[in-house]
Amino acid sequence: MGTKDTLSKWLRASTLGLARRLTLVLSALIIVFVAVVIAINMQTQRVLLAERMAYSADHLIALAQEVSMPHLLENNPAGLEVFFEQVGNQFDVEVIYLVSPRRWYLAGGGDIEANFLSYIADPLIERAFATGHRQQVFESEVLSIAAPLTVGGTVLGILRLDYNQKRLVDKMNAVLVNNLLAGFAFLLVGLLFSRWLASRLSSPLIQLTQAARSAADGNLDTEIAIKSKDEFAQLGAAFNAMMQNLKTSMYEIHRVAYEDKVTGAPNRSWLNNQLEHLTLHHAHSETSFAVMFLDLDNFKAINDTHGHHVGDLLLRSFSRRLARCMREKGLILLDVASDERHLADFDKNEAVLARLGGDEFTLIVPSKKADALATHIVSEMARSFKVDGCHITNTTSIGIALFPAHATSREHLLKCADVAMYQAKRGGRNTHRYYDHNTHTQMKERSALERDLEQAVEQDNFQMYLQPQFEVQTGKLDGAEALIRWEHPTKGPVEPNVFLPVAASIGLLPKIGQLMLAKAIEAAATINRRRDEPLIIAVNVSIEELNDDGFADMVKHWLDLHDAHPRTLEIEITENTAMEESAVVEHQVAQLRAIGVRFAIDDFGMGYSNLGRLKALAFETLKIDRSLVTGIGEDPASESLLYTILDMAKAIGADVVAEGIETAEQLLFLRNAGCGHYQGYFGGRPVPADTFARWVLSQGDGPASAPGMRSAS
Amino acid sequence: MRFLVRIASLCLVLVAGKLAQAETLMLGSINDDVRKHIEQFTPLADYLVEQLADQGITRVGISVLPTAQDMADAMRVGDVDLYFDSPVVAAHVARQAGGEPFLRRWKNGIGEYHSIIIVPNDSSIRSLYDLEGVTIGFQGPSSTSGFMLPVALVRETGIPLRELEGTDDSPAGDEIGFVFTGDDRNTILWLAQGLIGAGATDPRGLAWLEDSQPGAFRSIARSADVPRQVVVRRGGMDAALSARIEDVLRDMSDTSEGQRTMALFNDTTCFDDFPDGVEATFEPIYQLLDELNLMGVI
Repeated sequence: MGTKDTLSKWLRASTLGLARRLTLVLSALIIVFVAVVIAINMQTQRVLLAERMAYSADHLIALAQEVSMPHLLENNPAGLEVFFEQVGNQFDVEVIYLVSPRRWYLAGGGDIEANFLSYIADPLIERAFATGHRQQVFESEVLSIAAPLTVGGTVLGILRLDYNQKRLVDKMNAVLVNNLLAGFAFLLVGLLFSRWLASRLSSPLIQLTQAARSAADGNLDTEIAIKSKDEFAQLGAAFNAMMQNLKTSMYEIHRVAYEDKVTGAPNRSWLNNQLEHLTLHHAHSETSFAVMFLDLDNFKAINDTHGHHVGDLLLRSFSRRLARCMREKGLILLDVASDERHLADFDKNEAVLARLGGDEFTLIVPSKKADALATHIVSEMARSFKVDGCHITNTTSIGIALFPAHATSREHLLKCADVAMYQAKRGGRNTHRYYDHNTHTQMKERSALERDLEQAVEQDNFQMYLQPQFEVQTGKLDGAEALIRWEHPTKGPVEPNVFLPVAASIGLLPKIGQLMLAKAIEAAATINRRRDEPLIIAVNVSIEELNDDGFADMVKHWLDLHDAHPRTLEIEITENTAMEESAVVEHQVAQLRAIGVRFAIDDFGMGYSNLGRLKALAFETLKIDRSLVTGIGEDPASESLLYTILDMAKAIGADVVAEGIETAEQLLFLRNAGCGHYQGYFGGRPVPADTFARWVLSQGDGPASAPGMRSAS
Repeated sequence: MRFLVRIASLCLVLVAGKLAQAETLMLGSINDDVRKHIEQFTPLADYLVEQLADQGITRVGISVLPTAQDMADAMRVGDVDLYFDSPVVAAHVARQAGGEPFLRRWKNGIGEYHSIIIVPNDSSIRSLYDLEGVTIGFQGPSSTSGFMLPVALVRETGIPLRELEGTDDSPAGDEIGFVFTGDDRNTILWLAQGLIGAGATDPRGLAWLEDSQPGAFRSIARSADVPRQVVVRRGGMDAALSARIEDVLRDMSDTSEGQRTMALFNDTTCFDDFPDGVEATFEPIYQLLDELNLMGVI
């Protein structure tokens, strides 16, 4: 604020309210006082002047009579010349002269132009001669006197005086002017004084008002200094004490509101304030900063293992180490001491550390420091923490979003940092990642897919397709593999290899598996109900499903429900699943095998099989992966591997189904190699279950070709 | 009063005497009113001290003395250097003190004047010879126009003159009585009042009467013209200084400062040389003085 502003503010403040009223009252008093003094003075002057005039005129006449008489007696009026000249020079004497009984002008002074002995015709003089007594007239502020000089009743001459009161009045007017000038000066001084006094009296109040207003605006550092020893000073001291208490209370409230209880670091609200402020105030500046999102990699496990108490202590240690890392990189951390304090100056290396909740922390740092800081933090956090006597290792993953490159709003920045953090997690944890838009897009698509999948599971939007399997030697249809198909409501058909991994990652696989199993059992029952030679319907089951204690019972339930023969159902598990040495799995498999359900190892040749275990499991079928089949006719190594597998299958008494047969050449090879069954486009593409069923029923038993399928023969 | 004036004058003379030796030029005047005359002379004194600085004059003093005798004494001993007065008195003092009239002084635009003897218009007096048995009023014994010039005129008639006790007194039938009125104005007042039968005055007095009572008086005799005023220097004055003073006074009317100074110096119009020369001008005046001396007037 400029000096001018301050001055005008002071003037405005001091002319308002109390100060103005005080000034007005004091001014009024001074005006009345000055007016009364001037009036009294003028009245006194008037009386004095009137008295003086009367006295002066009388005195002059008496003096002139005294002086003139001897000269008249000596008949020597010439001797009076000097006297009258002197008297005539007096300012209030307009004219004074002496006239002989013959009305001859003898001597005089003042404003008279009469020659010696010239005749004077004057009514007043005539009256004086006539009466022998003094005559006087007051007219137009001139006192005219004609006074006879008599000796023994004889008039020797008449003294004639014009005494001009106007000059006295002029003089009095001059006095009045002087009075008014002095009064005005006094008034001016008085007004200034009253202004000064009023503002002096009211300035503490104005100060207090301004301070209170400032405090109301949130400026708790307001303090006032009143340099006096009166009640105002006490009030000022009380105000200051109040402000101090208020400040303490505000700080406490502030701390409660914005400080995280566990770590003592600022909390999410405060971080949001800071970010909001930053994004608003730097919207058009060239400032660049980074929002870093940190997450402890194994916090949940630690909480579960060691309890929340240790978890909280770890968070506190983590927070402290984080702060230390930041300081080591030359950053200055803001705390919640004042909400007026905003992160503003990145040139000074100011930074923010806040805990968002759980095991999530967020930092705001200058962009140029972000990379080095993240590396430093990751490496420091890799060292173990000693918490409550335990040594705990907990790495961290950091996601970094840059303002304004990645996002310009608070929500978006946090979201981007969060996404980047997940990218870091996906990147193997214990590392940091900058936000990447492409990855983010994929993630978004994936999460959309996840939501859609959940909905699809809920509404059973999956369809079962069946792909026929044939005997290699005869070309006779002898089974089908149930394959899942998903028609997305907006995106159309989604490949299983796209949605199944997603479903697996969010734990939906068992539910989907159940849906498919139920459909497959139903289809097996429906199709085989009218066939003499039953078709075996194979369905894929995941390890997660098999790990369920109720799996076997559920399968039995469905078999009963649809009145399907267990031997028409073949459960395909992957090679890896088969190798899993799980008691639960083994138990479930055993139960189902006991009632005749067949088991097949899917995609054989892709995983690592323990041959001993393979034999022990005694699976009914091995399904040779399509990757081995594609080498037929081109790759002797593949062909020799196929021979080996077929020999091995023969050795353990398992049927073999070759997948992915697309050419006659492949089929011929299989036939020559002695492979039992095949599946593939050469034989028939997967078709919807009901289409398959209708087709199968229309064909009856024996070699057949499905719609769009090549006959085996 | 007169005693006091004399004391004051003496004091001034004493002071002036001391200072005269130290480049002081003293101006002199005869009058009872010391203050008034000092006031009148001061502008001239200031002017002269400025103009005569080149002559070593550092101060110009003023000496107002009550009588012609005092003035003559002062000039003789060198206490007064320049003396201003009407011509007859001035001639008297100059003769006694060994001084010399050297410039004419004009007053109120008048360089020369004369004296007249007036009588009421209805008076039977036609000439000076008709003044037998009549009282004539003169101004005062030291007045040139009011006494010296007219008394010489009256004396030419050969009729005996006698000073009366007052206007109540009357002259005998073969003589002329006279009274001193003290002032020119008183002379014409008394004449107008009929207290005297004739009065000696100058043309100004007659003008006053003409103005107030037109046609009521007439003149019966007129004296010769004399200079209005003259300036006398003491004898033995330094010739260079004297010449310089003469130039300064004569040239006063040429400068505005000189004119202003003269106006303040009792309405002086200018200083100039006597038109007929000093001797021709003063010859009759010295004769007049001789006559007055015989009369015992001076």
